[in-house]
Amino acid sequence: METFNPHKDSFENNNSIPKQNNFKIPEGYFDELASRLEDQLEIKKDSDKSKNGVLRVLMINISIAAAVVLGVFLFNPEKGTKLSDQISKMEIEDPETIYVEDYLISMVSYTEDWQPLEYYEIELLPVSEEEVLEIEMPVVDEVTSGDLTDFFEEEDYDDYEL
Amino acid sequence: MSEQVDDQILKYFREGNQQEAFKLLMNTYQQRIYWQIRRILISHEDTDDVLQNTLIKIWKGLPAFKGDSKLFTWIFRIASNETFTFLEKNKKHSGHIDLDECYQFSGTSSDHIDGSFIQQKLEQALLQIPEKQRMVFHLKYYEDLKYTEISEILGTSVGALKANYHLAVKKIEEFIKTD
Repeated sequence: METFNPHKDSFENNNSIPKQNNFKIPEGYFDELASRLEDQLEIKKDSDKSKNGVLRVLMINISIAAAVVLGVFLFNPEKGTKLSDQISKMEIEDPETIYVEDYLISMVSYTEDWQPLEYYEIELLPVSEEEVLEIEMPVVDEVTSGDLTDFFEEEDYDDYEL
Repeated sequence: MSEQVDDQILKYFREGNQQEAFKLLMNTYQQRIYWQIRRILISHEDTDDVLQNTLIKIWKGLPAFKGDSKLFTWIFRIASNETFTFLEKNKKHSGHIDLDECYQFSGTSSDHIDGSFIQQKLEQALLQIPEKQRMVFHLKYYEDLKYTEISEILGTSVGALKANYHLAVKKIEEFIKTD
């Protein structure tokens, strides 16, 4: 059965009128509009974003590198490690007691591992006998055995703890 | 195809790739929205104002777009609302329109039909029908949208839209035949 269609032969069905817009528009209008709106809406450009991103990453890396270099110069990493090692190696028989002898021994062995941070070369120049005689030495009174005895007697040994 | 482009626009936008999102949005919609508005307002200057407001609203509204409707129906709805709001504020559009000033006819001619002439007749006929009917006609005839989609855009029932469209077609045909 055929369906009734009042617009069967209408222009909208037989496409007798092309679907085109006939309005006049200024040349380059759409390009100009897009550009105008991009400025007005402050559309972030990807190139700026990536440039900022690279700069930010670079700044972070430089900061980290600077912090590491500073850390190396300010702190001796070996020192910290050795000290903790030494302390952990100390045998504590009584948890309440730290024996002075053991502690001193551990410190001595610890200082053996120390490395001088910097080396200096001192140039020694030969000095003549006349130059030595010309040096004015401070006058020091002779110290007698009595002076030494007086000094030790005056000292208050109660202030010292062994 | 259209939905894929819409998804791509939203993807770019949500990823923060604003320039690509904006470029794709403009390439896809600025001309379509322009014709939709121009069909009602006729004047290029008025259309330019409304189109600009429409695109700004679309761009600023994108972060809040939840995807409850299709992106293109949402875009056409904003354009339609902006157009009718402009019409409400500016009643001057009922005045005389100079066809030569606004139109440029370049229809192809055959042995039987002068393309340019028939285009001119159609545009004249369209000017005789009310703006809302003209909007329905534009979305159906020129944009080839479904009634359900036009219903979403204009907030009118499908039945009312069908009636409106057939009424518009009838009036246009009568105008072409009689004039």
